[in-house]
This record gives sequence, C-alpha cells and structure tokens, in this order.
Amino acid sequence: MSVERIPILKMGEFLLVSIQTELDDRLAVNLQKELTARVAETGARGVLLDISGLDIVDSFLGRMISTIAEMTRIMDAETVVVGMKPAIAITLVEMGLTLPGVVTALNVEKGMELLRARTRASGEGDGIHSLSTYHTAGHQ
Amino acid sequence: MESTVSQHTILPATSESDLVTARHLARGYSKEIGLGLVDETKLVTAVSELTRNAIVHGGGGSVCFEQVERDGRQGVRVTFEDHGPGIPDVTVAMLDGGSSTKSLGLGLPGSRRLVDEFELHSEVGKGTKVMIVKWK
Amino acid sequence: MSNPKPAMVRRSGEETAERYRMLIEQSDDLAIYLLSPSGHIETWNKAAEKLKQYKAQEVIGKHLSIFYTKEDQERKLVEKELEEAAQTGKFEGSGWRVRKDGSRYWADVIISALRDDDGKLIGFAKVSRDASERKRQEEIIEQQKQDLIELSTPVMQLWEGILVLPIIGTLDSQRSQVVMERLLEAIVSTGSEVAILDVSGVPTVDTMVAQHLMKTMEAAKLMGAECIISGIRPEIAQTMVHLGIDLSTVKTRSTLARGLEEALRTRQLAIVKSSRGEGAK
Ligand SMILES: Nc1ncnc2c1ncn2[C@@H]1O[C@H](COP(=O)(O)OP(=O)(O)OP(=O)(O)O)[C@@H](O)[C@H]1O
Ligand SMILES: [Mg+2]
Repeated sequence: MSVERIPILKMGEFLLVSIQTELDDRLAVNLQKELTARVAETGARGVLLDISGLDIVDSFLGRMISTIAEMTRIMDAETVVVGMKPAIAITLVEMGLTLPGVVTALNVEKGMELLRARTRASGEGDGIHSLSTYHTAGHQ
Repeated sequence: MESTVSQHTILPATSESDLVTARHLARGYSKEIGLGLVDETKLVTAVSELTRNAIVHGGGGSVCFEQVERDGRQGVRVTFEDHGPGIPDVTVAMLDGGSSTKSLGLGLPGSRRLVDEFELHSEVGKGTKVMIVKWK
Repeated sequence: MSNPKPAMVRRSGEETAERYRMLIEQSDDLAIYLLSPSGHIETWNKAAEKLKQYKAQEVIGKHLSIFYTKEDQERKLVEKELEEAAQTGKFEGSGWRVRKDGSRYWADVIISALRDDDGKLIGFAKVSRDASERKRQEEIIEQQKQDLIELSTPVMQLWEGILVLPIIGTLDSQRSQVVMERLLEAIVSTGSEVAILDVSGVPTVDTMVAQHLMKTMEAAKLMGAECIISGIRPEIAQTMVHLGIDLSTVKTRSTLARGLEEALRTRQLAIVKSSRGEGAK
C-alpha cells in the first residue's frame, strides 16, 4: 500500500491537518500518532482537523476523530473538526455516531476564529458549537 | 421479495486494501442506479462497516455486489460472507453498543439504519452472512 | 382450432363457451389465455399475439415462463405466482416481461385459478396488459412531485451567516428528507452558522417528522452550524414532548421574530469584533 502521509502544518500556535485523500485505517492510525507527537513537540494550543476532503466517515474514522479530540484536549490543545460534508453528517446521525464532545466549525476560517476566541478567553465557550450531548454508545 | 439481478461483482474481503476497494465498488454501483449523494454515502458507509466486520471479526470472507431490480425499482444488494466464528448472540450484537471488543459496537445496528433491507444469519463455528439492499 | 378446449370451457353450455371463446379471441387490448394446472399455455388470443409477438402455434403447449426474464425464471417466479393464485384464488401483480424479439415491457397481470365443481384445480386464466406507458407516467409524476417539494421549500439567507427556512404545509417523511438535505447544503454554500427552521406553517408533526427535525439539527451541529426551531405551536410542542424528544439541547423560539433575535444574538457573541455591543444588551 501507499506510504502516503497526511501533512500537518503549523500555523502560529495552531496545527492544521487537512485530509485530502481517502483515509484508510492505517493512515488514520498513523495520523493519530503523529499528531499527538506534533502537539507535544510544538506546544500547540489548538488543532484544526479539516475533513472537507473526506467522502465517508464510518465508525472507525468517527472513533478516530473523537480520540484525536480527546487526546489533544488532555494535552491542552483544543481540536476543532471543520468541513464535514452534509451527506456524511446525515449518515453519522442516522448511525447514531454523533461524535460526543467534538467541537465543530463550518470551514477552516471559522474554525480558526473559534480557536482564537477559545484560547484567548478559555473560559466561556461563546458561540462554540460544542456537541454538548455526551452520548455514550448504547444510549440513543 | 422477488428481485432481478442484472450485474454483479464478487470481491475477497481479507485485507485493508479490500476495504478500500469495497467502498469504491459501493460508490460505483450506487452511481449506476442513480442513487442520490446522501443515499450513496449511506450505502458506502454500511459497506465499509460490514466489510470491516467480515475482515476483523470473521477472519476474512467475501463481498458480493449486485445490481437488482424489483417491481421496476432499481437497487444495490450487497452480501458479506465469512466462515469465521459466528455471532453467539445476534440480538446483543445488533444492539447499539453490543460490541465484543472495547469498540463502539455501532457497525451492525448503525448499518441497519442506513439501508432499506438488512438480513443477518450467523452460526457459531460456521460463519456469518449479512445481506443489505438499498433501493433507489 | 385443433388444440383441446380447456376443461372449464368444455363444462359450460356449448353456446356460452362459444361466446366466451369469441370474446377472448376478439379482445385486442387484453392478452387473455388459459393455462393448464402446470402452467402450460392452452389458448392464445390476438392481443396476446400482438403483445408478445408469438403466434398461437408457437406457444400453445409451452410453459408460461417463456415470457419471463431469465432471472425471474431462475427464481421460479411463475411457479410462485401460480401457487399464490391456486391458494388464494387470484394473483395480481406487475413486472417486466420479455417479447419474442427479446425486448421488455412492463406488464399488469391477473391470474385466476379455475376449479371444477368439486373444487379440483383445472387450470388458470391469465389476463395481462402492457402497462409500460402507465409505468412511465408514474415515474414522471413521481419526479414532478419531487420537483414540487423542492420548489415549495425555499432556503433564504436573511443576514450574513443566518439562513431561514420557512416550512409551509404538511411535512411527510419524504419532504422532511428534502428539507434536511437542502438546508445542510445551503449551510455549506452560504457559510451560515445559524439556521432558523420556521414550522409555524406546519399543521401537524408526527414522530417521523419530529425525528427528522432532530436529526437535521444534529447533522447541522456536526457540520459546525446551529439550528433554531421557531414557530412551534402548542400542539406541536405537546407532540414533541410526548414523543420523549429531548428538547433540552434544542433551541426553540415561539415566533420567527424571536428566532431571528436569537440567531442575531448568537452571531454577535460568536463574532468577537462586534462594534454594536450596546444594541445587543
Ligand atoms: N462477521 C462477524 N463474525 C463474527 N462476529 C461478528 C461479525 N460481525 C460482528 N460480529 C460481532 O458482533 C459485534 C458487534 O458488531 P459491530 O460491528 O456492531 O461492532 P464492533 O465491530 O465491535 O464495533 P464498531 O463496528 O462500532 O467498530 C462485534 O463486536 C462482534 O463480536
Ligand atoms: Mg464493526
């Protein structure tokens, strides 16, 4: 299989991950590892995960996204997932995979605004669309 | 319950690259019958879940794609078959969170919600067969 | 005709039988023919010849399955249809059939079981008609219905970043689906973070529709946008509560005006550069 990698760009105090290729499981797992390493090494305050290039998110990828968000949060860097396509959002909701606790934004620009607002006033989450319902599997 | 098959493709499901191929095939078949983007995405996602189950839990198997027609309606039928350990308690496995691993356990119940027809047959020690259909 | 007359006809009075036979032979719209209990063709009329392109001598004695598609043959569809007719007295259905030249047409079919006075099955009468045109019409109507749904569901951008979707009329699950997709598409194309779904023009909300609304909001959240539902009338509020739908995570407002107020407020708080902070208080 390919030895492709998902590029991780540093933008000021944030990291930008833009997934522009079909994400197979191995690539996903590698990304998870590399990203946490980069957060640690750069001391980034936030991560923008741009998934506008993704055509599907199944339970494996959904879980990976949640895990990334959780891991970076522990490392004091908020992850904002941006650019999810409508068809994917509908599919995830239908499946019952609502990515609890993951912060989302419409696009990279809005996600960046959100991160800035959040790192500046890391108290109230004004206008931050946090998926506040913390579903656990098994509870619809 | 009667439907007509007009074309089909059988794919092995043993490795991760098969998973990618299965998704592509699901997309191709969806386009063939003119499914809308949302339904196409639902089908591709269900195929991804069930192919992964056949690989991970079933120890590998096969995936069969068929373009079908019933009462003038076009559809895509996908059958996943493996000769793995089978599912001891299908009712539990079909529940949200009914995973045998620490996983979410959304694959089976989730994909059932994404398609129009869903049939699961499993026998312990013999294997598992799942059949799904998405109608136009 | 040299072929034996079917038992049923033979049993009736000679005169009636003759009238019957003529009626069947003359019909030029309905293909009518008789089958033996095993499904072999015993009689043939003009309409059948016109429809299926076979002449009487080519089909009499042949099995009904020759008109079915190969796949239907493999699945023993004929046998299943005949069995249903034998058991319940009648089979009614539609499906693709094949002409002699291999072309297909959509057929409406009725198969009736024929029994003698003792109740013994003596054969079947089959009436079939070319319904290809009707099928095409149905498809067109379905398409038009779809177009109409889309036309009757406008998505408007009321303000930068704020969409309004007034829903007027009954929401069935098909329309809810369209509403959901259009709204989410519009969120992306306009980059709107807030969408107001105004349901004041919706007479009733059933379980399916309420669930669709909830799913729409959840999907919007996954995409990074927020939905506000406005114009929820008391009956609808009751339905939603009765359905056990958790409204605690949902922003609802009584009127569209209030919904808009809320949307603006959300936007001003979200956009930190607000220079008119005074007005918001
Ligand atoms: N093909 C199969 N062969 C054997 N067992 C299976 C098979 N498919 C599913 N199972 C069993 O059913 C359970 C539920 O499957 P499901 O796909 O819903 O969840 P999962 O695969 O554990 O997690 P997820 O799909 O959410 O990542 C699995 O944990 C496994 O025990
Ligand atoms: Mg699974």
